[in-house]
Amino acid sequence: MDALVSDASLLSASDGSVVRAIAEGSQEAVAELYDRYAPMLLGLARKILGSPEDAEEILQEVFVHVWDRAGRYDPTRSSVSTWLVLIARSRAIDRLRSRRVVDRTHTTAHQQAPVEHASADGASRVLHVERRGRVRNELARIPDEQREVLELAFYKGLTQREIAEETGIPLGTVKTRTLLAMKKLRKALRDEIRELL
Amino acid sequence: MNDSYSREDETILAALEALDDEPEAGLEAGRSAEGPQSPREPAPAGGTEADETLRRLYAETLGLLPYALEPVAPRPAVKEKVLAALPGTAPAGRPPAAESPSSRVVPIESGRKEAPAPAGTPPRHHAWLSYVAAVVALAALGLAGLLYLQLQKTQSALAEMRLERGQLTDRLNEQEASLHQLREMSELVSAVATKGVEVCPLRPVGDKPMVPNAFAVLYMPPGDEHWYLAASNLTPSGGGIYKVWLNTKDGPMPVGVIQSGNEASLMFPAKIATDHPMVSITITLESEEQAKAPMPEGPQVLYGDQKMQVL
Repeated sequence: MDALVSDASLLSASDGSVVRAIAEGSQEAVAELYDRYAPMLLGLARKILGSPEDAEEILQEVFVHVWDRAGRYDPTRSSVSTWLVLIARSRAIDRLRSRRVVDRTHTTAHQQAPVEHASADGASRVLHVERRGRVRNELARIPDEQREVLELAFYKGLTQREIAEETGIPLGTVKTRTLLAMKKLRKALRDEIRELL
Repeated sequence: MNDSYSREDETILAALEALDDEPEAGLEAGRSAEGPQSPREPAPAGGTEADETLRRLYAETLGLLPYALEPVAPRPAVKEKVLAALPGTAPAGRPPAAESPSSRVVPIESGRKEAPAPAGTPPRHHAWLSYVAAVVALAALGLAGLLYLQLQKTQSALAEMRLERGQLTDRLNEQEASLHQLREMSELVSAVATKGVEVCPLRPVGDKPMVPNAFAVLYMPPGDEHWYLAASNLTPSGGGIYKVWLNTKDGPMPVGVIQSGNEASLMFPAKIATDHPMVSITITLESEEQAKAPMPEGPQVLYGDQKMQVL
């Protein structure tokens, strides 16, 4: 492994340092990043896709992608956490859309596998556990109709227009609700965001 | 975008639209450029550093959303497959791989057969340390929660005990009040049931009494072993003395002398009357010489023979 981040110091290394170590070719660093984020990313993939097998494949794709693109990660543009989330989401939504095309072709509905949550708490980092609690709390405070449009955009990959069509709500209302939700969340989660920056 | 939206609104909507792009399009600089760490893209046309900061803040906000989801612990085989899918050589400075990452993904077998650990992958001692740390932290959290619940229970129990103590105090006060009332009633009943004071009034004797205004009362309180004689207005008369005689069946019996005056009294043992049942009582006025005689010799001043009981 490269001298940039030693094996022993990986545990306490920042996410940015771990990604730099990956860029230098450290498989240990990949494993470390995996340990930190895999449960959360797998949860995200399963939320989007439903299928545990598909979700695990997405998880693999994410880390192969990270391995390939670590050198191009720009910490001034996003935190590592957000970078990983957006990679996972993008790949899961792509698969979801292709599945929709297949479903339409075969005119069969996709059967979502039941989600069998392992007790992920034991494997999650304490920081993530605390962050999860705070994000959940703040999301719960947002009015249902605002949270709904935000989740349709994020987890279903729907555009504002598609949300308006699917829900029957006027496009302007969809945008207003989305904007309100985002502004409230940004203010409520400012401490979390500051930790990420 | 609609003109009615503020710059912040437009930034938010743009951040949402950018979700559909390849992640690096919005996050990495110079997507089309080859090689690591290409110069950053300039801010959007007309954009400022403030716009870029705002974009970043909303991107991070979106990036936090999945934290609200329940995390799912991957099977150990998934990690092994991820590491196995990585090329063994350092990728430093290399151009992006021509093949898509998904082409190197090892399919997940539905049979859940565990793949062997990739050769050459050194053991990761820190992984279990992380798990242990997480488990310990969670255990500490659980313990803290347990202690908090215990504290709540204790406080609740204390509150209940305080309430009970207050109720018991009230009940005790009520019982003390009842007891006091019972005592008063008992005393009243006792007073009614107890033998009353024996009283025998003494009145002046004759049509023309020697000391017309004098009077006396002989009485014995209940439970007492003495008789008391209280006399009033026994004024001095001719230098004699007033002598008290208890007239019994066995004859008169002197029980004492009382001094003249407005108020005078005499006490003698009840046993005398017990041993010699009283028929009447007489107060006589006698001279010094007469007073020495065993029988009354002077004129009677006061006489009484009617004993009565007064409650």
